Amino acid sequence: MPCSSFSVTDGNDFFVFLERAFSALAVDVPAAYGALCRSLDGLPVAIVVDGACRVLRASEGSHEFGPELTREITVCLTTSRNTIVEMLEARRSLLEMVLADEFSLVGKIQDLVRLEEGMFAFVHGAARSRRIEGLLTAYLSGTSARPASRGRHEHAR
Amino acid sequence: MTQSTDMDGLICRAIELGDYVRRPRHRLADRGGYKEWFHFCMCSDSLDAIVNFNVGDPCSDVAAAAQLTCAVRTASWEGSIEQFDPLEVSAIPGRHRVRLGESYVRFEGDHYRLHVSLKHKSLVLDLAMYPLAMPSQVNNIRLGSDTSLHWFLVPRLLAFGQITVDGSTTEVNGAPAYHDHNWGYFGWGGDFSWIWGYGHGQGLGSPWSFAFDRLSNRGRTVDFERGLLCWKGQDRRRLFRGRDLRVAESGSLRPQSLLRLPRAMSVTRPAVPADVPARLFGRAEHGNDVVEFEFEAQNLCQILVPHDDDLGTTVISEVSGRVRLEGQLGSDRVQMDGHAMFEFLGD
Repeated sequence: MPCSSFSVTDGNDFFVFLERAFSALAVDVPAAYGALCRSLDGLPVAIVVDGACRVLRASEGSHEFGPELTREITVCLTTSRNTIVEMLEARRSLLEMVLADEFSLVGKIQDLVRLEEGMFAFVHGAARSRRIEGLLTAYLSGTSARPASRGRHEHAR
Repeated sequence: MTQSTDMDGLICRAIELGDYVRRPRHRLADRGGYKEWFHFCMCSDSLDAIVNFNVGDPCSDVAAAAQLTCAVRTASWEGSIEQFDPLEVSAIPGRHRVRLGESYVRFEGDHYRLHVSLKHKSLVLDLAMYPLAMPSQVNNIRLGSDTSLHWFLVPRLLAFGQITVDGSTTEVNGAPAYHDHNWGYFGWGGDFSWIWGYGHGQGLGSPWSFAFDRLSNRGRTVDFERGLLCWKGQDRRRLFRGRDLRVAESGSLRPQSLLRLPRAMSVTRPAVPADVPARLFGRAEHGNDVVEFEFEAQNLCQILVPHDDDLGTTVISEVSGRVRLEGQLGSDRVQMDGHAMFEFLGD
């Protein structure tokens, strides 16, 4: 079970960005947040960035980030901060990064398709949110501030 | 006073009368949100520049009051889309100026003054653009059953100034440029698409300029509107519309470099764009007047615009390249080789 006292902000600014962006998305663009949660409903995703790992679990209208890896993980995404920044600044394509072993996705094809749908819902929503634009700018510049610790976030749709 | 000076005065007067900020502070029930933007572009073998001041809907509940798009191609593309809060925006109806943060455009009697300084990219553009041809205005371009767009255009300007990208400055000394101003009520993602473009002859010795538009349904299977307007020097010389104008595309552009804005949305698009033709042909004929153009696409920048009513995206492909225009208009033989920029709107 997720540890309720755990803060996803510990140690890696990508998870700071991601958690804040999900929270902003739920408020600013609920349609995108709903689409994201539906795509990932029942699909635990392990996200590993520069060795730090979090598990994203989503269900209808809510999500949570947890620290633990369990046998239920169905998709594992492994990459680095540099690669994420290059992707967000469109310096290289996702395909180039995969071919260079800098962005790894492991899972069944149908689960990877669902992850892509969820990721695209997030990106389309992020493009409609001023707050996420600010979070993205801070992340890219490496100036993400540490937010108040919260381990679990749920959002009414 | 010379005839040319008279005409220069008329051109500037037409701009004063037509190119002012609209931005109405009322809503029309059940229509798409209000849109308004001032668009400038230049294209040549070594430089493309696209600047768009979008002042948006003052009645919208969206936090962003306006946005600035700027893309410049020298050795490669650079650019960004930046959002502005209401306090950073000055766009007063009736005025000939828009300010977004430190960036602004204004008409100063006989030229446009354009200054762009991006907040998050090292890109500064400082230009004076002098209009060389009589503007034209197209009203009530239908984009749906109850939505429409208005289009004011200055087909040919001469630009002077500097563009600095990442500390490297490009001098702009008499480069041909284009400007238009669009406004109206519609929603992005509606059942419409367009191809729009302009072309100039190479250098001041070539008098010909043209503007082109083709408005279609989303699938591009039915055209609502086609138009080709030709200028000779300062004068509008000929307008072809509807069935007088035939259009064809061939191939698929494979650009050497591609910029997509906002950059983060690139991940949602295929690495290689598949919907921009390598060549565009047009033939306009009415009576004894006939003109043909062929556009060879070379460079591509794509602007990804979120839809108003769903999570989809409209892709606006800004394509620069070479153009050839030939034909006969009355007693004038038309022969032009130069540069052009076309815009393809699709999914």
